[in-house]
Amino acid sequence: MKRFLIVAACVAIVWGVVLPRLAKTNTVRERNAWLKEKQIDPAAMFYTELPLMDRVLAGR
Amino acid sequence: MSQADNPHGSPNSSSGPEPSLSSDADDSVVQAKREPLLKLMATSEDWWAIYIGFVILAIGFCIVLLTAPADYTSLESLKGISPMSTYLGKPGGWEDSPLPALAKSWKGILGAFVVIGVLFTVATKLRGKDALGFIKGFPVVFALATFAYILAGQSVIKAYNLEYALWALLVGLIISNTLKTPAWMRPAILTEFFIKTGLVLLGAEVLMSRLMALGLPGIGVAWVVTPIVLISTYIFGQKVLKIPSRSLNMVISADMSVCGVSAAIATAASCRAKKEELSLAIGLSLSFTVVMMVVLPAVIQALDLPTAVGGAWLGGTIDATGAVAAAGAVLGDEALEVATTVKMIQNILIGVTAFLVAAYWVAYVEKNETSQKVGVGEIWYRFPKFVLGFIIASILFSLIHGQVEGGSLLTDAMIKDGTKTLRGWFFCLAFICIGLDTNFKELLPYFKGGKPMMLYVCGQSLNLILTLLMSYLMFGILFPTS
Repeated sequence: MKRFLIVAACVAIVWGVVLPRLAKTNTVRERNAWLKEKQIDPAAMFYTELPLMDRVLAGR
Repeated sequence: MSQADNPHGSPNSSSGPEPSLSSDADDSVVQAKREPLLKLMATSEDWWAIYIGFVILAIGFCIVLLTAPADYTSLESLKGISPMSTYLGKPGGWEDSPLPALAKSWKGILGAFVVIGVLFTVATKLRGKDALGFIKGFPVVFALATFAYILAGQSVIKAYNLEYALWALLVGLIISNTLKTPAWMRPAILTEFFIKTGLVLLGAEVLMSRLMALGLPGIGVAWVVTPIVLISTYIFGQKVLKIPSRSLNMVISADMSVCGVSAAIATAASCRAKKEELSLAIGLSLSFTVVMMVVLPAVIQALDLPTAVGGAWLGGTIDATGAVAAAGAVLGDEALEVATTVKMIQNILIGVTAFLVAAYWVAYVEKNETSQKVGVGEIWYRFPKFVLGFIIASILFSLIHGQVEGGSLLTDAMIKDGTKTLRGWFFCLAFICIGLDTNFKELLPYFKGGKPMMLYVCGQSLNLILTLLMSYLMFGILFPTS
């Protein structure tokens, strides 16, 4: 249980504090805005998960 | 022999049946007694994955068909019309707090929970397994999958292509290695069942009618180079690196040469790789993807390659689809289009790869390991049947997409509104289950000697060279773009 609580605390700090702060930096903000503008989901596993594919396929 | 005793051993060694992604006795490849086909059709995971997959696809297609407006002419006119878009969803992206994203998508998450829960409870009951145990354990497994999606949805994580599979695996591993996975959750840990069902749904997204989207150049890069790299890497792993586990070699070769996580899942299920092997292959793929996504566009700019050549190179070499798009966009719109289209054509190769790997495994690998002559009947008996469901779904929806009037829009709407979401849940649940079922100690032997890493690096190096040459030949010399 102790090990679990330590890991859970680490996860809470990283996702609750560190990453939200990083997300507010200009670099990440600009990158996210750029990805949104290009309709890119960088976490897409398959082409059907990419929003921009509709536009690409329609163009072809 | 336990996996801990023989971490590199083949899953189907002559020492007898050994668990692969699951520990379900029905899935043991070499069975002492041959079960009648009808009994297998009534009880085996493979067949039930097909039944559940096709029930979802049939209902999904009917819902889209029945709710579509009479005058639909574009995907936009079908978007959000069917109730699936509201009642099937997953946690969305977030920056500060996941709560607003959850508040927005809770109906969809609940819908996915109900659909998967009901279908799998019925399947578990009809298969003669512990349905009550599944009902007790599934809400927790699903909650963990939801948590993994929340972790993956954070905007920084998402921007750098760290897919939900990684977080699902980690969430499961944390539970199993700190609290120990409780026994009452075991009936809901159905790794292979979730993967197979997800793959049948994925079959409907493997649309052959999109194969010629880039014409001959696209085929050259995605369907000529990729199989050469896959086969060469596999042979290199067997003959030079002498990787003890053929299935580990195959999963790494496929995920590196075809398209990352999705190819790793399909191949691992086709060759009945161990869960640790799939975890390792995905870890390698995601690590290199993040690096390649950043480095390759810079290399292309430094070499001053034509944008179409650069795009094709990216599409053919970076494993993950999202990372290909992010890297291609750095080079401009033309590179982005070429890169994503090449990757889409490569995505479609998953179906053929899964089928051929499954056939090769039952006809040659298992034959060598069991030293038995394998006849056609035996090949059919051993062949992982869910692969047939995957292929049939692909052919059926390719025909509807390409041949039926309005079929392309209806198929796209069905995928976007619902089946894609459920497929994602199935894979996420599978990775949670892998984590819940894995001890860190079982993973460590796979890193010894660094052979998997060497295999990936050597294979990817060959991939980079051959894909660059083919991209230059196709998009720079034979079919140059203006």
